[in-house]
Amino acid sequence: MIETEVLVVGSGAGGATTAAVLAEAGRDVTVLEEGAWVEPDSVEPFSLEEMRVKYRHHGPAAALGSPPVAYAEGRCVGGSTEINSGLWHRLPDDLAEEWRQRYQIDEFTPDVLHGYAERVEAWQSVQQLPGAPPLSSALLERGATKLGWHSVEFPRVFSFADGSARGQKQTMARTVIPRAVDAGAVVIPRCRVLRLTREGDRVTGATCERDGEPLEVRAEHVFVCGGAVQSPALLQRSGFRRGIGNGLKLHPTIKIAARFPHPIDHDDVPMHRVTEFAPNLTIGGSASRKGHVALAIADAGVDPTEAMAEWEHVSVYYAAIRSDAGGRVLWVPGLKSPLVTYKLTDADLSRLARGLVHLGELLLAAGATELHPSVIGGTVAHSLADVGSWWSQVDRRRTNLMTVHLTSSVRMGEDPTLSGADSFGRVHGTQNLYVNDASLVPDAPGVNPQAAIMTIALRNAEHFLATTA
Amino acid sequence: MLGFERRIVAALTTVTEPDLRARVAGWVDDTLRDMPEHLRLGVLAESIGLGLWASVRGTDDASLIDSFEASPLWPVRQYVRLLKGLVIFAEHELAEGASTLVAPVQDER
Repeated sequence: MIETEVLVVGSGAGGATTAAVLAEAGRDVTVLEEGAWVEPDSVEPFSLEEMRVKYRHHGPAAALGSPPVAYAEGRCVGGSTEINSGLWHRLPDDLAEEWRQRYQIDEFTPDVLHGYAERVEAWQSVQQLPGAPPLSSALLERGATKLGWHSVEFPRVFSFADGSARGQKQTMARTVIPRAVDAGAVVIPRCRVLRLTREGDRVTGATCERDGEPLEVRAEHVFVCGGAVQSPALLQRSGFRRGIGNGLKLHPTIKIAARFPHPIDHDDVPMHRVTEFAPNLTIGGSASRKGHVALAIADAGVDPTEAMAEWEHVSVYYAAIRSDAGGRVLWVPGLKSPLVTYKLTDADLSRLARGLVHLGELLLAAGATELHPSVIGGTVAHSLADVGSWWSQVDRRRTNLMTVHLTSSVRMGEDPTLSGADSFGRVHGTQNLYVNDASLVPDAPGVNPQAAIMTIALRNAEHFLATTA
Repeated sequence: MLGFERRIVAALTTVTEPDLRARVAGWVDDTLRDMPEHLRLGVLAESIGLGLWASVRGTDDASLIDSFEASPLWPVRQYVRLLKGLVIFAEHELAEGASTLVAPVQDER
């Protein structure tokens, strides 16, 4: 039995931020993390070994729908910040304002959010690459410039203090979790929370399992921070259902494996993004290790053997959209993993086709000579005319989609008919149960969500401190 | 993995070195075991059904996989796509030298 004042479930961007802020304010904090504590540099980024030790399900899971959308989640101390690309983008002002009005969110003006974002950025060494970008990234800028499109080199949560060109990603396990621990928080890895215990509208703790052994935790306050899939699943299996798990949002992403007449780097993710069509359509680059390149080529239904003979010349790029569609996270009794669904609209498919065509145009302008779209049987393109044929090929039967950004499954806001938690993350109808992670973000932000998650988590944690003794 | 899954994975694996083939099969086995249960149950059901169908049909593995890929049934196409994706990813990531990252190529500006 463990007794604590504040129990934080999950140690990703939301959980780590919550734990650090509360522990530094003198609160007694215990963090439970289902995954292991893995040293950030112990495995190569995006490698098979990283998938084995840091990803839930070894990597692949899928939101069911037509077409399904493959997704990945981190499961280790630091959560998905340990496996993402570290790109940093504050929540766009117009979206924050739109959400504030639509979902009736108190104290959610752009000015307020920027104040919190600045403080989070100071924790984490948010900066651009100090030197020239790698070629895989510069090609995005080059193609955009030729087409007259706007592109941006995004800052990332990277430190270059070690003198290396690649730098060191400032993950939660490297930055915010140590802050929490230094302030007295206890982090318990390999501990799965089976369900929260409750008495009426109060939560009293959690029933857990650690290394196969039962563990009971008693707590005065509970923050659920397991991400947009695991948080609603835990709440549902603990009996909280109203506004929980509905409204899941993600960024459906379609890819191209692009072959160039010269070698390209493969050890990092491009930091440029083409923002000409943002926030509804964003173009960028993906992890492109050998396995990713082979998989991306195979996604077009093509035998990758020939193209892989020159795999050093191939890199993977993507177009991601903000979709009209919504999804659902549903806990099914007897199953450990929740059912995740996502229903793309016809308009979403049109946006994906547009994104694929724009991405193809951009890569040809950047000098690519061969493009493999992630559409089974899709035309392997060598010209703009080939790219134009993709308009009719992106359909529900043949298109392969993925995402790494999932949000909005426990929306924040004052109207309980539109949200699962109030303006500061307290679950509607409860006294002491909070959500503080990607689940709260009211809609897909169109950009990498880590900055928005940490900004909102800091804001909510400080509100908690101000309103509880 | 079920016997039929092992057979399909072996047929999809293109590398010839026995140890590497075993590691690829091991990776696919681990990944299937760690999938969300509802997805794994779906794959198991398909493996049983397709395995029965294959035993009745009595065709060679390559033709079998071709017929799955060309099937009018979306779940059958997805079945082979899933296993193929896992095999391709593992083959290229487990191959010698895959973990040696290519030296960065900088933009010349």
